[in-house]
Amino acid sequence: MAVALLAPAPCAAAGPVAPVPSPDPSPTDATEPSPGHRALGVGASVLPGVLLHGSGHFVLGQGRTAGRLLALEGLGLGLVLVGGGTLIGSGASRYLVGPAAAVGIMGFGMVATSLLADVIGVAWPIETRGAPQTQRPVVELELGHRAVHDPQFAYAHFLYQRLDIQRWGWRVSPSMWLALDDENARMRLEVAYRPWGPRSDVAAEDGSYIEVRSAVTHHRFAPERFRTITTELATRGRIDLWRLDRELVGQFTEAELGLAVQSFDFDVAGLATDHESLLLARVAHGVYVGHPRRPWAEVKVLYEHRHDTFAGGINGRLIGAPGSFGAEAKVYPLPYFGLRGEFAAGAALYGGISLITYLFTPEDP
Amino acid sequence: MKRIYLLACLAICCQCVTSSDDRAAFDEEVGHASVEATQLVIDEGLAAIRAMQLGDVTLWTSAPTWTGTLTTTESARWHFVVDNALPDAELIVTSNGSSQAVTASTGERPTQRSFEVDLPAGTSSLRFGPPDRDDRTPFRIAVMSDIQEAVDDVQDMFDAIEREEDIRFLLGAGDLAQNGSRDELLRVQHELRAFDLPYYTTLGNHDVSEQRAWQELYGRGSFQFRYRGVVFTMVDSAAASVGPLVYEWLDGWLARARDDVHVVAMHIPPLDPVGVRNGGFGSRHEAGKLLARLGEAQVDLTVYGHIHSFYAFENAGIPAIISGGGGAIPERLDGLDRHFVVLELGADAGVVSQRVVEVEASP
Repeated sequence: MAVALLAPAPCAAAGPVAPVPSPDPSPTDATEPSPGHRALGVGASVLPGVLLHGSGHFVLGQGRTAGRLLALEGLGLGLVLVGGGTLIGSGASRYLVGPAAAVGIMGFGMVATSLLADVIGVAWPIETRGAPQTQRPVVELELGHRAVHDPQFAYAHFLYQRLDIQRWGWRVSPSMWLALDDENARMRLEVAYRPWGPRSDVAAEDGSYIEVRSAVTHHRFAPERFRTITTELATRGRIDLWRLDRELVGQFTEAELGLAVQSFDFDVAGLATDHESLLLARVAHGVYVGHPRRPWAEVKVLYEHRHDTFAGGINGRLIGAPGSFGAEAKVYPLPYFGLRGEFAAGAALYGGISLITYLFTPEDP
Repeated sequence: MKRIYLLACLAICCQCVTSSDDRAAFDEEVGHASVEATQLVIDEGLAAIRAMQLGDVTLWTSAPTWTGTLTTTESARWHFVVDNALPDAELIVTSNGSSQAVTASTGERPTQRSFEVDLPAGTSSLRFGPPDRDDRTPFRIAVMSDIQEAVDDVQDMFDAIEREEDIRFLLGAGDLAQNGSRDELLRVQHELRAFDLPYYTTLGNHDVSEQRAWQELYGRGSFQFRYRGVVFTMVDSAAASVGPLVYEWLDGWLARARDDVHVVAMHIPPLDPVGVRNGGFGSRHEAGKLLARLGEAQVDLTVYGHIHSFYAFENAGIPAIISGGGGAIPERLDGLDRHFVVLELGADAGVVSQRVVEVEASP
């Protein structure tokens, strides 16, 4: 997404959490709008904004921002047309479908971000927007509950645990979903390296980052007599949108691309293992609320293309081709203690909430 | 322009397909009809009762063989017209323990069979099928799916199938129509009137836009039949998933066919052999669940459509073919034109052979 459009800035020196970033020195081209004017902008961001992204900012007199959002929409639509056109024109050829789908999804992400950034940008006064975490804790723990509504499986409740250990740009994250009402367990080990962005040893300019990650996931379905092992490699990035335009401060966009191989092993004598490729693609748009070390939150909506999650892809009317749509929120009402919630809707509904805590932050005495 | 039209059709189709739960419920209604005090039941819904009045029944059979019962309070001469039948199919009727004399004839086309029989009051058992129904020697069938918008050219495919020797019937894995309206499904049946073989098929995601249309015209989406010792199980996977009720039926069908040569056909495969395409089930977890069940039941062959090319692969070690070459927008760069597959199967021999037959597009 915008990650690919904008050159990374050098990391800031290690230090305390940065304030709201405002590195764009150019003056805004509009004064703070009146409530009525803002309401008009919000309306315009929806109609005709749903077609002409940036309409909301244009109505508020922020023509430069509007132009950039429209350009982002145009670029996104172009990618959707290239990806979708390749899919249709090639009849979803086995040789082209992976790259075509990836291009189309990235384009969809740009289109979604340009729309959401316009709506949020005009609805939310700039002075009340939040700031990102610019430095990551060394250790983060998560413990919570996840509920799954899947008519195909008996499980409904999971204990969810995650541990993040981060040092020198590296992150190791073991996690586990353990069914409380069925013999189903999912274990995952993720290792990531972040060359740019908030790390435990380096404070960043903002929340933008690039991360290369690899993971192995083992998922056992005992009653159904099979298990899957997924090995994956992907790159994920985030761009804080003030880098696109300062009026969009407090918002960010994310994208991920990668590939995985999923193996199906069956606990039935004589059955062979299946190996399946899996396209990893994910786009998200989010906002920061509040400021780190004060009541703070990060909220995002996302599209997850992978089909091996609890939510899976949307079947029924959309015949399984798309992935799932969802939302995630991380809230720290108190220093060191917070909550993380997530929700996804695909073939199944998945969601839950966790208690999170972090230790050994670089700012600790 | 054609592709834009197809995109628009796809968008429309995405808005109006019936749910798999609805379709399973509609399946349960197939094969039941009554007029006044007369009831006709086709066991396991293996034929759609297209019309029924006292003394007259018109059926569309979705299997080469079936049984049924007709219960009536008064004696009458009955006329059964069975469409989509094997050309040599016969109807054996037993009433009150004694066989009834049935006059059989070929109807307006080879796949239409017509039967006249006098039925007494009471319950009569019906047994429909060809004389070779219990023969265990190998036989040949053709497999073709995904006609969709190419229905205008489908006679080329039918002609090519008819030119193959000793094909007993055509097996399908769905997507006969483009938008699944009743009119479109009738159009395909109109084309089938010029085809000398019956077409036994499940439905695809393009066939299900109008409630009950498929079931009323073609019969069930999920069903099982047996022919010459080989069991064919057709599963409605048009939603990239299998409905919970269909899983219940499937468990019974898999258990019943465990010791037989067993072919399972469905439209959308659980796993697309090209995984990044996601042409399989929406949930890979469900794909694993279904494949474990098929493997445990020792299914001999799985047949899929949906992907408009030909693939031969294995899922969970079960041989599988995807044959979506009925004419719908083809997968490019696969070196293959429209096609069908000839399968040779035997009750004792298993899957003897499979062969792809290409049919060049009309100029």
